[in-house]
Amino acid sequence: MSAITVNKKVCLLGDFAVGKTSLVRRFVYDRFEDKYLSTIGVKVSRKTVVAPAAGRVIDLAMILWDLAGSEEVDKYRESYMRGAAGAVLVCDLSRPETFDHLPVYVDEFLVVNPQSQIILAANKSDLTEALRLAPNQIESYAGSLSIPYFLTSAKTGDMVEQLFRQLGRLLLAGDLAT
Amino acid sequence: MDDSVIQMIWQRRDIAYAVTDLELIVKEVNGPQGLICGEESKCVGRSLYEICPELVGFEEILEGVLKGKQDSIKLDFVNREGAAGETRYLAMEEVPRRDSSGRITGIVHLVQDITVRGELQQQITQSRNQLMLLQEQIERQNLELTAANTELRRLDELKSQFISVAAHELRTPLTSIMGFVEMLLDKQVGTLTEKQREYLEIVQQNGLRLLDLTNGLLEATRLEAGRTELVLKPEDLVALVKTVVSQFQSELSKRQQSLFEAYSPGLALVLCDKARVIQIVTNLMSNASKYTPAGGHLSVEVKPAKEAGYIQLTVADTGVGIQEDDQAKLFSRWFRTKEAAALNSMGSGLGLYITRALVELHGGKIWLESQPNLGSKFHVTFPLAM
Ligand SMILES: Nc1nc2c(ncn2[C@@H]2O[C@H](COP(=O)(O)OP(=O)(O)OP(=O)(O)O)[C@@H](O)[C@H]2O)c(=O)[nH]1
Ligand SMILES: [Mg+2]
Repeated sequence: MSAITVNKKVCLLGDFAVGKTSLVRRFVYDRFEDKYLSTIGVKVSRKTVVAPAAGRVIDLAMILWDLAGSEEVDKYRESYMRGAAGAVLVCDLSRPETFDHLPVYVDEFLVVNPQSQIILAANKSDLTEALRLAPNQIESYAGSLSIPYFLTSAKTGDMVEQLFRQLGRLLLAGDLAT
Repeated sequence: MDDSVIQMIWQRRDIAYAVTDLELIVKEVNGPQGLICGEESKCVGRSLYEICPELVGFEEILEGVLKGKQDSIKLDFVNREGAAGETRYLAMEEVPRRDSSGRITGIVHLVQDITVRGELQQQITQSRNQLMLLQEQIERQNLELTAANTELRRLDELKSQFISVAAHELRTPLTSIMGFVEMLLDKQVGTLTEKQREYLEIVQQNGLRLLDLTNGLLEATRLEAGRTELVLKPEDLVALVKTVVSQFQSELSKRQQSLFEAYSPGLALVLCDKARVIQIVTNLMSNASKYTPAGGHLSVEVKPAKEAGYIQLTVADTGVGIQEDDQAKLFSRWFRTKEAAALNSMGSGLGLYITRALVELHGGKIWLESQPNLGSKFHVTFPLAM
């Protein structure tokens, strides 16, 4: 039985340097870079996960849009977001302001893609000495949007696979519903 | 325009293109190698979505382009990895392809290499982001420092409070002890033997020292906490100095010390707290007398200071003097020179500390000149009352 392949576009959204590129790099290539290289524009990567859905095995090809977090993109971001089925919101646990900005991205994304799935990654959980956001803050914000959240570390890989797999399940479940 | 010119433009501008049919299957590829997909020859016959995953999600819009409902799709700064792992920046555009009759027959997928522009933009963004990260970090550190500072200030205040409460509590029983000792020495409750008198006098002397210390502590903590308030009025500094001098006459004659006074005539009034100035002058005079051997010479002088707007008081002696090393430490809390401690075991090490704080509270300065065994000169300035 050959699997059915489904393509889904997923955007990574969040302020600069929160770890969007690093999360994709960890998930797709299982690598990590300490050096910060600001993304400009967009880098698209593809990763296929195999997921069971409605009694079939489905190859879900996630087309990951790693968007730049800097202001320059603000004017294109909306067009970049078009046609996305899901988004990973990313904030940095050591920089509270990156958490405060999340609603801006959510609002923008939902205007373009009202039927999409969103998941929250509170990243850099390995920086135990420098954490400035409490897990219950993250939890209550995720709760208010009814979206799942994960405390991730692109550096150690903690919860990164779980994050993307959970989003994958949501994307397929959303498909079956329609 | 002839085809070779067009080819030249494609090459010079780093532009490549792919043409598809209505099913979005690539039919033709042209332009510099590697821009459309790894190997141009392998692109033909594949779906546009395969060679350009960036277009996944744009299906409906592409449909619109094919139907002529939408002009084009543009994507700027698409990142791709080059053969050596380097980042290449591409600008992409999807435009309808029309035949000679104007009918849309597919899509033209245009790709331009804008790596040079992209790298420049990347460097600008990188520097800006790194600067902003640094700024965020500085702000966070500032916040932490402010918090730590507030905490320290609170602890310091608690310490001052504790000391002043303790000093107050010590003073009450001490005053009572001193009162009873005085009664005994006055023979109000009977005569004393010579030994009893001698010992009681030692008790009295040490009691006085203790009282002096507690008063000094109270005063120093008040000054440190900024709770000392001055009652500033225009005063005649010479008159205040003379008051102190007259109180010292008997002490000086007891120690056979001579005092030379020099007051410039017609000095203007200074702005000061009378009681505090008397305290300052008393402290300086008392030190001068204490640390000068019997038969030595003292002098007081009041004259306009070198610095305009100030009057200067100088108290000089021919006493033990102060080593250069000790001079800088002289005004700090609890500091006593070895020579001073040997001559007078009663001092607390708070006198000059308090004196300096009081002088500075007035807006004046205090400093000294001294040589071991030749004597010391203490200078104090007070601001003129305008
Ligand atoms: N300690 C730690 N550092 C991380 C983690 N994730 C990313 N970083 C570091 O954070 C910096 C920024 O990471 P990026 O992934 O480039 O951030 P970005 O969100 O893509 O930033 P922009 O492209 O500018 O929007 C880099 O120095 C990473 O090494 C993590 O989980 N833990
Ligand atoms: Mg990035």
